[in-house]
Amino acid sequence: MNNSSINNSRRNWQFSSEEMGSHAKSWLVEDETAREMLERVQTERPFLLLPPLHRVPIRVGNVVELAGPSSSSKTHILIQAAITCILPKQWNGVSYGGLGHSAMFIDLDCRFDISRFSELLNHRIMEAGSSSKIGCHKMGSEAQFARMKHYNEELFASCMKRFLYIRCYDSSEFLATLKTLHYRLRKEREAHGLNVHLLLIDSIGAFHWLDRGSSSFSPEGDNRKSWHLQNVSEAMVQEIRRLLLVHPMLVMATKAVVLGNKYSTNELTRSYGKWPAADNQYSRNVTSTDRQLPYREYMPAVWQNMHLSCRCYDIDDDLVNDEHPNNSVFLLEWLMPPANSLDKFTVTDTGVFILS
Amino acid sequence: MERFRWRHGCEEIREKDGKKDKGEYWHWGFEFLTLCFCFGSGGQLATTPAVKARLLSAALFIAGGSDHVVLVAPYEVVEPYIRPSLWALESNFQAEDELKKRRRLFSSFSISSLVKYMAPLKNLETEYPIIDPSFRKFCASHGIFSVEDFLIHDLYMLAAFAEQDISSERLKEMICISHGGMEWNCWKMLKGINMIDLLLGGGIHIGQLTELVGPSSSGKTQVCLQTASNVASNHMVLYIDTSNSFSPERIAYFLGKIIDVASAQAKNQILQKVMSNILCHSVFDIFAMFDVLHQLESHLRYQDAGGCQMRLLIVDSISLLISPVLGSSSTQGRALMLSAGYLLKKLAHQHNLAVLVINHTVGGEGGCSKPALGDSWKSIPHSRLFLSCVRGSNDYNALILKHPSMDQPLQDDTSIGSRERNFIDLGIGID
Repeated sequence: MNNSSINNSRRNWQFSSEEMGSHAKSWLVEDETAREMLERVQTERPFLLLPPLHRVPIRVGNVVELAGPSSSSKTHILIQAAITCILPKQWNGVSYGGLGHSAMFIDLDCRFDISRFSELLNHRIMEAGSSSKIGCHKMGSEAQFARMKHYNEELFASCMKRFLYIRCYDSSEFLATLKTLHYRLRKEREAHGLNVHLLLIDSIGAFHWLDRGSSSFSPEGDNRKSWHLQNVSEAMVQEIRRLLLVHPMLVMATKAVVLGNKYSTNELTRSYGKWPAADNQYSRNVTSTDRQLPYREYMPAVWQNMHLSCRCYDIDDDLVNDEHPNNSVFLLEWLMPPANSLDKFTVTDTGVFILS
Repeated sequence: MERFRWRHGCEEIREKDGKKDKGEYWHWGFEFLTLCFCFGSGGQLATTPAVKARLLSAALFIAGGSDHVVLVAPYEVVEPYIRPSLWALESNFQAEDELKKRRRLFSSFSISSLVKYMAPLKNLETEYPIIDPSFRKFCASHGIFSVEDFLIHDLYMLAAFAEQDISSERLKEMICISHGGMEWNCWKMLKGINMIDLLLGGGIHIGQLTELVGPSSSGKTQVCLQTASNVASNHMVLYIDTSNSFSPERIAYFLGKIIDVASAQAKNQILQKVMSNILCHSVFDIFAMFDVLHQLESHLRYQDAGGCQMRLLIVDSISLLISPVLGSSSTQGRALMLSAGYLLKKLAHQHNLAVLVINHTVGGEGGCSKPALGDSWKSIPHSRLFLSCVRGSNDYNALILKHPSMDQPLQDDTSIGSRERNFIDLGIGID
């Protein structure tokens, strides 16, 4: 810009009111440097490294989908993630390694067992409590034991207050829940000061067949939307997107898939069985052929485009693992962003542990 | 909305084997009256259940905005699909007869959710006075005639279209209407047979759906009968029987082994009481089962808290009801199965029932048997128990396939010692 035009614009500014001039100037001043912004974002929206999803750093605002056949520990991963979220970072000198935020569980499968959840939470509390006392002297007195129990109960109660649960029996209820979730979360935040950090949806594809089976009739001449799969999924995705704009949280959803046919499943399991611990050659072979997805994708395209996804299998032969000999081993593969190797993990009452 | 001419609609359904089936209907109506004629392809009656269900849902969809519907259809279409739902429609419009409305909820899966949300908005005006005519007019201009239409519309865009007097508060309230509240029930367990209780971790859980799978004559019905006789001494039991396998003599036999009273008269009294606590319904197709379950739901909602509570619901051979519909048309059958599963889980959770269903086995690969009803059914029950008979003796094996407290899956053909129990002499053998 040459001098004359700068002079012109200055004169224009002078012709308008003084407020506009100062307002325009304040526009040009920087808010923060890139480094400051990076620091701010890292503290407000840290990366969550939840096992077994530790390979990809996921943050608040992402949508992750865990797909797998039935009984491949997907719900268990969700529950452990919820427990990690609601445990505080530290309490009474014991560090629990949690996030201290609220978690909301939307149960579309309607199979959630609250007694099992509280059992797992108790296990985690005890385990963290006992591991921190290893260095200290052992608990000799009764009073100490009773106090510890009391602290644990208090901690349990405060954690359970941070766990919110909703159950939906069909997609109308699910859509209604999503639409009112914004107001509920806002009320929760005002009432208890809790921020919901994690939204867990058990089985996002639970009502797929029900919606497919219902009418796809649309009357001609009316501008009325009919209730069929396409509209319902679009409405659902739109609501989740909106919710993420206003309440940034991490969304984790499970999806039950049916692996191709039984023979192809056996083939997969056999090839995993041959996978030695240190050698990646087989795993690379397996993942490259898996690009074709041994299961049929049934969720509509609007959902598929919005999330990161990974896939769990379970393998039924006994790979040797030393610390947890009685538990089966599961495999997890990241599909988007694609990764070249598979993660092995096992689930126990106290959490999810990565092997190898 | 202009409705002063006959409109013709046509539903074409392509079956899995390539056959095409067509259903047609004509409708005409004002705001308060809709006339609807349903035909099958070429004017004959509609042939398959898929077509019938589609026609019916189409008719109800149109009728969503009307007060009165006159449905003219061939008799075979009307019975048994349309008649029950017509009662529901009619009673929906009589707001004062609440009980009748709830009792007449009907049998077809796709229709049940349609009618629940398809109550026209003006019927909700008495309960929620914000739905006044101007609001309804605004909604009608956007094609919203019922609560369900709200759910698939973008509310923020609607609010942006709205005039001054309609604020977003009203829209928000509209949605809250359709959503109910949830509460936790206490999780208790029912005691059935000792060994099986041990396996299941204390008993059959109340609020959960337990499935017993096994090949024929592996003792599944006997397990159900004994559980029913155990529970019926204190609570009510509903036994839905699909294969005429309910036998009062067997119940009396099981009771005879448990009751320890000397006089025959006292024994008789207890027997009478237990028998009156067990309600047995014979159903032979899935729509009849839906009917029974809906009646149960309305009954449980209005029963008083005192007296004998219903605690156990047994469905003997749900696979016998579902397998016929599962094979014929691809999506309808599976949707029926899943909605049956959800209805059972809803009953279990909301009314504190323990639900026990029985499933058969079919041949898997390698000659070993696997549970019927396929992979979509796998994720419905909370726990699954596999019963089998040891050949050549009176012993039976029970194996847990899935349980909420178990994190590891169990493949069908492996068995781990601690998870399997042998139970002998339940009296299951031939006496």
